[in-house]
Amino acid sequence: MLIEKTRDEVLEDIILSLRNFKKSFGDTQVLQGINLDVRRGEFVTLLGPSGCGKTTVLRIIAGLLDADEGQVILEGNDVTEAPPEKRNVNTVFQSYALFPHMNVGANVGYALRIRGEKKAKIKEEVARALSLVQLEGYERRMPHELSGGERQRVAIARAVIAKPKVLLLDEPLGALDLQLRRQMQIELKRLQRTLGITFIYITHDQEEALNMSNRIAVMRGGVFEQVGTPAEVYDTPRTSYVARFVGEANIICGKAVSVSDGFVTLRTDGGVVTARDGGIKFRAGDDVTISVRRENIQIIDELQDAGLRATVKEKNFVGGLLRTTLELDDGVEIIAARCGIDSPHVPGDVVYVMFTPEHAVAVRELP
Amino acid sequence: MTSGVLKKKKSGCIKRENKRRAASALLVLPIYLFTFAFVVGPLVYMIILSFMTRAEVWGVERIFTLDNYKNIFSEVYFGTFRQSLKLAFISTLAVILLGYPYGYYMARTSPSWQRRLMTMQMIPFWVNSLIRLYGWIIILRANGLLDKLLMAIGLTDEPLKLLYSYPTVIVGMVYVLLPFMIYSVYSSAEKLDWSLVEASRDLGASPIKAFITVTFPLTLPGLLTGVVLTFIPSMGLFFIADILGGNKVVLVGNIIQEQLMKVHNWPFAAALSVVLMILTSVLIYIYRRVARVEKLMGDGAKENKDKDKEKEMGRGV
Ligand SMILES: Nc1ncnc2c1ncn2[C@@H]1O[C@H](COP(=O)(O)OP(=O)(O)O)[C@@H](O)[C@H]1O
Ligand SMILES: [Mg+2]
Repeated sequence: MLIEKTRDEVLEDIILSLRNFKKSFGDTQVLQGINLDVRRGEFVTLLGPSGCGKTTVLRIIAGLLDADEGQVILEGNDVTEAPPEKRNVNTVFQSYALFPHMNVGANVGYALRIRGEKKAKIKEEVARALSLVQLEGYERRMPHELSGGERQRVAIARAVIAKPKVLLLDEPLGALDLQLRRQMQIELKRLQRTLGITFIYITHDQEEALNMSNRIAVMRGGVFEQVGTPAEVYDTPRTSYVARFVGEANIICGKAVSVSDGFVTLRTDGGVVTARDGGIKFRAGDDVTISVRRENIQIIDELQDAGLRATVKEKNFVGGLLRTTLELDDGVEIIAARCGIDSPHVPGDVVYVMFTPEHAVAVRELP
Repeated sequence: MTSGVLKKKKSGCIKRENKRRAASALLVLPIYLFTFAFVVGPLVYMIILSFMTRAEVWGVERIFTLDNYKNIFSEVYFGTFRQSLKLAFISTLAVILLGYPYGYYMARTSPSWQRRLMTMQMIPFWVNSLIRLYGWIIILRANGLLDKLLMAIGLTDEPLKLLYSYPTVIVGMVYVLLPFMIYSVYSSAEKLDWSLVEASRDLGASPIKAFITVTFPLTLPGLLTGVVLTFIPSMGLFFIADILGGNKVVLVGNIIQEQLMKVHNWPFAAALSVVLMILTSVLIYIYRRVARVEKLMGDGAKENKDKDKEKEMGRGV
């Protein structure tokens, strides 16, 4: 069935639309209304903790699972009811799912063989796909003879050989060690640019998501809490959850005292601070929650025009950063991080925590 | 000098190693003795026996001969051999056709159905197989239950002569051997990593193509185990042919039994057994060649199990 494209879809060249799909397993609702428009050639990441429903979303897109409600629209066609083999979408599975009884060549060429392509053509395409993932000449190896990283590459080659419209990747780098993961992140990005295929990528690693994506959908308990570019999600988190999960940001609560042109000033037990309002309309007296990233927190000894009183709790160096843990007067824990040299403060010191209003943003507090 | 010290150390190591080996050899000695006494010994005795001559009255004489083997290829016995092979072949085929889907389905269905299906085909095991075969006689004999039923509905007018026929023996064979196939297929299908089938669908295979290219090859080891467990006994289970086939159907097992117990031609019975054993070995050899797939599956299957466990734990929280 051909669905009439909306004006936006034509303008933005939407290749895949997820329309309000829901899914329950037994009594537990795993997905509650998933909406997403993916543009052609885009790299979209679903970011969320384990168990939030990422894989379930991917399986519904691939057709391996039926949603209870909602639609999947691929290039304007409603494929909600179509079986997996009728969708021009391929998956790189979390466990790779390489066929153990076939060698690498047969694994990679599987999609073409099923389609009934000529032997010579398959051979050529397999060689090309393997060179794309830097595994030239691996055709005759068996999957069990490969390292984790090599299996990963084979799984990718197998999934891209049929030139899918959308490639789904389920935590493809999850099983690899850190160094290999960094390298593969770069290679995957390169691969996506070379092939021009739309990627939907799953990860629970916020750094990976920020590094690789055009857009990130931050997922929590079966819903997208925020969908936006890495910069949007990082600089202007919509909810306190997104702020914590993506930026490991500090969360401070208080009551609005005044509002002015995109900024809100709030009073907390420890003092008064100002932050961007993040598009939320506040009135004096409203509860306000703001998020401030660790690297934007300054620690000063004397109170200036705005700041929060705090006690130094702990100092340590983590990954080249000096990390100071402080406790505000109302008991909230704040972490400040900055590069470079040691600070003169020692645990027990009473100091003031400060940040410029541009660096703090009001967020919604969802249950 | 240093090298001398090194050498000494090394030889000390070797000595200790040798000692350890001797100790562990001593430990497994009983197993070797047992195997030798009850497996290798009788086997060798049987092979030797098959080259001896039958004594005039009783027992054997130690005169080398190939006559026993020649005898097998004589008109009468070779015919029986062929018939027996054919029967084994048909029985095995029937067992595959019934047992593969059953075992496969049992592995794929919900745990509660799994238990039900498992019990259903285990109940017969609680009764001695001979008694069960006599049950078949009651059903199949002329004017038996089946005949009465068919005549009552008016499908037939006179008793069918179902018992003591070739098909009846096959029914009996299938009945006795089916559970072995079901279990073998079940255990293989249960290990199958379902994400492989999903991957094949994802890559464009229809359900049938996914079955042919992924499910079937990966459950083939189980099927072959079932074949070995079906084909070999169905040449030897003489009592089934005796009870259900009257004396119309003669298996290799029947001749062996007859030669051993009635005719007392032990060398000939031994020769028949040797040939049967060679056939079995060939079958097992083929099986081993193909079943290597299972080893390859080892990794994937294990990973999948871990994943399942993880999922379960996640759900428990
Ligand atoms: N087949 C299933 N049956 C029951 N529950 C399931 C099934 N698949 C997933 N779940 C549950 O759905 C939730 C989301 O799972 P999943 O999409 O795999 O999460 P993620 O990929 O984000 O870790 C989990 O709580 C999981 O236990
Ligand atoms: Mg997952």
